[in-house]
Amino acid sequence: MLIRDNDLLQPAIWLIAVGMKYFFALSGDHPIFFDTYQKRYHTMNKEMEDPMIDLYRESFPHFARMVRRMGGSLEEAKDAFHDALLIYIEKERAGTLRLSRSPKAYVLGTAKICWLRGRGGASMVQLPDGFEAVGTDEENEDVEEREKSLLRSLVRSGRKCMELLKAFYYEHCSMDDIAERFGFSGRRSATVQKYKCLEKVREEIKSIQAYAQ
Amino acid sequence: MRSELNEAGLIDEWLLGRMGDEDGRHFEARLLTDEAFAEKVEAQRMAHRLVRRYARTEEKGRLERIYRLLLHEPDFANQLNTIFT
Repeated sequence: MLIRDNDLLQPAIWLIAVGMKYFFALSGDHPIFFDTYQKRYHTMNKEMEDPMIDLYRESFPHFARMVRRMGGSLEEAKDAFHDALLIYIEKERAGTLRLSRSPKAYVLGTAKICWLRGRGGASMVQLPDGFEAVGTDEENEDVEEREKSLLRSLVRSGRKCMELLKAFYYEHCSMDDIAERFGFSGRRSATVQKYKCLEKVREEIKSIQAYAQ
Repeated sequence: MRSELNEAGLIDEWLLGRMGDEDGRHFEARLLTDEAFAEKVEAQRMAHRLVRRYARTEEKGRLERIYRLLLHEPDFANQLNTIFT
């Protein structure tokens, strides 16, 4: 297995940052840089352990080359590639992923469809729910804007609730897993909390709809 | 609380297409005759949509972080530079 520079360098910098933090703490000074670096290091470490990183590293340059050959930009390639990875992730979590070849081949094929659809082609290919191109008429834009604003308000008032609902509906976690992840005493308590969160979202939706009428 | 909780669970089952035929027919009959219930179902349908939108935004943030992290790897960054210059 190849050892990348980061594998050795990052822990070394982290150790130096921790050491210097305590040195400065003992001497009465405490530059915020060291806390920030430690936090950033932990976030980076988490991303390095992300199971998608290998698939990303291995597939994206191939897709980017294909998009370039067809006259697209790096940003367009990245957007279509992220849509394809999302489809892959969602199907895998829902247990509906049917791979006839490798994950890389699946993601490259799907990314190509996403990119062509973004350019107005490949319209006969069915993408998962919610990945259809958003209509351009005013009514659709209004609905889109209302939903975005509602979501912003829900996240502001209760990100933990949205995380819990995401774990249940999107990640298909069991109530036992949710209880453990969110620190509830058991599945019953997690079920009640999930209901309360759902009810909160429903109430907010109803109040926005009543206000809009 | 228990009956409300069960009702929300039933609505989930129906919205996610996991309800059996017989129960589904009862559910749909109630949708036609009980306006308050129909409103709840619509709100829950929209709640599902909002959760999905939230989740996708979060997941895209996660993918963006992976991309930025990979740009620190010389091999990966060089490949992209070569392709787009």
